[in-house]
Amino acid sequence: MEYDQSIKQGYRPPLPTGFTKAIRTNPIWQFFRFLVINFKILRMVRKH
Amino acid sequence: MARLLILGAGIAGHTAALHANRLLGREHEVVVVSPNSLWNWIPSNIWVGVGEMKPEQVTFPLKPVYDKLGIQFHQAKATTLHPEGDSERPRPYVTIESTEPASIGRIENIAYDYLINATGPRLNFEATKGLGPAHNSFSVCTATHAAETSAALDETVERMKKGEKQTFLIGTGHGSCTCQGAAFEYLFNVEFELRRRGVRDKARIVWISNEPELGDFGMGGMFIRRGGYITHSRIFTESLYAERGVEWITRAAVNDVDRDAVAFETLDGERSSIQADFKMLLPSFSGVGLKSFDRSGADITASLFAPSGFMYVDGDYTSKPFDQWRPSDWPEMYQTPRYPNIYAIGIAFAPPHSITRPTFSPSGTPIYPTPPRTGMPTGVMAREVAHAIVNQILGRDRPAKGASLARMGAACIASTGVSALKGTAVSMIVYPIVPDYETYPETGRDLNYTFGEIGLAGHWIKHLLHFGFLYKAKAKPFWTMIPE
Repeated sequence: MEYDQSIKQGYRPPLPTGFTKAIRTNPIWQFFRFLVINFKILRMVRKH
Repeated sequence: MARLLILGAGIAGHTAALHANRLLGREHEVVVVSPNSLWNWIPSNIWVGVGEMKPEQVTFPLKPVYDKLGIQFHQAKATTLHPEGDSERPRPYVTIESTEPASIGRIENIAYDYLINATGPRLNFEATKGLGPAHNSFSVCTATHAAETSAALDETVERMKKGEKQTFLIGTGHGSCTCQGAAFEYLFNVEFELRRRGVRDKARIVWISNEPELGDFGMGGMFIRRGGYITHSRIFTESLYAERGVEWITRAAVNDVDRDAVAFETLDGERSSIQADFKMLLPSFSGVGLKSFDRSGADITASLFAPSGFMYVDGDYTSKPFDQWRPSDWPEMYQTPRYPNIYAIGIAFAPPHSITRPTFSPSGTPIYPTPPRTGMPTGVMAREVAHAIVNQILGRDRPAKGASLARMGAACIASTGVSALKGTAVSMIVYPIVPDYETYPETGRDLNYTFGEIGLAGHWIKHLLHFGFLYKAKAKPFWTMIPE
């Protein structure tokens, strides 16, 4: 039997807005996020 | 003088060797046995698989590094383990078989005082008919596999440029696979590459996985705070798939990979197939098949290794229902109960149970991910085990810190496209890796530390980790400053 219905669920997942997509690759905002994510990783590493 | 023997020189074995050697000095011996002459930063193999890196950029020869540090290195595979020695040799030893071209097949016995089993997995392509680079699908599990996959991707793109439509099927090739994250990364890197090469409109891209839902990643998914809600990773993962136009099939056990189609069984018992031109499907993992014998020569493999081939350590392996699983079931010191001088770390240790709830199809096929135990947690357990062994050798009375996955967090940076300014990656942090519903009743994890976000910053971090960990693995100056 050929599988022809790969998305079986009856709802559409949330999609990002144009603004959300834009800030994902905005270098200035992402530099700030780079610092934040690194801080979060180091904080988690220090917790062990 | 004591001798620490380490089987395997992947992330686990190599990390343990570097730390043990640094702490022990030249008075004691650190010996590493690995069938591979190269060290591989496996997380970057996905970039080799899309042609963004060459195998030489993710590997380097181990011997010069070990020569520099005074670590003995044997390019060989371990075949048998004798933890009590035998009638002729009173010390415990391991039999190895050389894989070095100049001495291939030569047998040697290496005695040890302490042993770390860090052999990693055997890529069990045979468990699925037609799976693997020798048959009908591709892999990114090794740098060599990834380079072959990249060449196949180039050929597929050429056909698309001539107007042919192609179906890409990427995911897991067995009902018991782990490492969904690697397949996830490869999926989105392929999607990104196809857009970059101007042929995305010719591609149907389908994800297939043994996960119960998207975003499970073998760790039962995770909850994060976002937009005023506590939301499951499924929502964000589905959103990414929908945004990038990727279809998905979950709760699936692939059982037959043909030249043009892939057959699979789903959790509801349905048997289906999907036509696919390009298939990158990860295999299930098993132990490397190390046999073990006691002093009299009796086979004791079953008392040291689980049926999967992974080594029993200090976890609770009692069979019990999912609802009775506890964080304390997970090993702390990765020490085998029968032989306290033997440890198993990384993929080589047998997890006491899965993290995702186990589920079976009506015909009894297990369809759920086995626990991930690679990357950062592997490095941490290697470091802690090295410290514990060094303390014993040097006679230091220091309490062992332990490295239980139920008390340890992990950061995972999953690439979704390579470009200095347009690339993205999903940055995920979970604490702890194994959910602890006793301490965190609602979500099993500490939401102050558990986090997920997609963006260019993640790509920069992934790139930084690539260079940072290669630098560290080469034991260059101040390598200890880089955390595991």
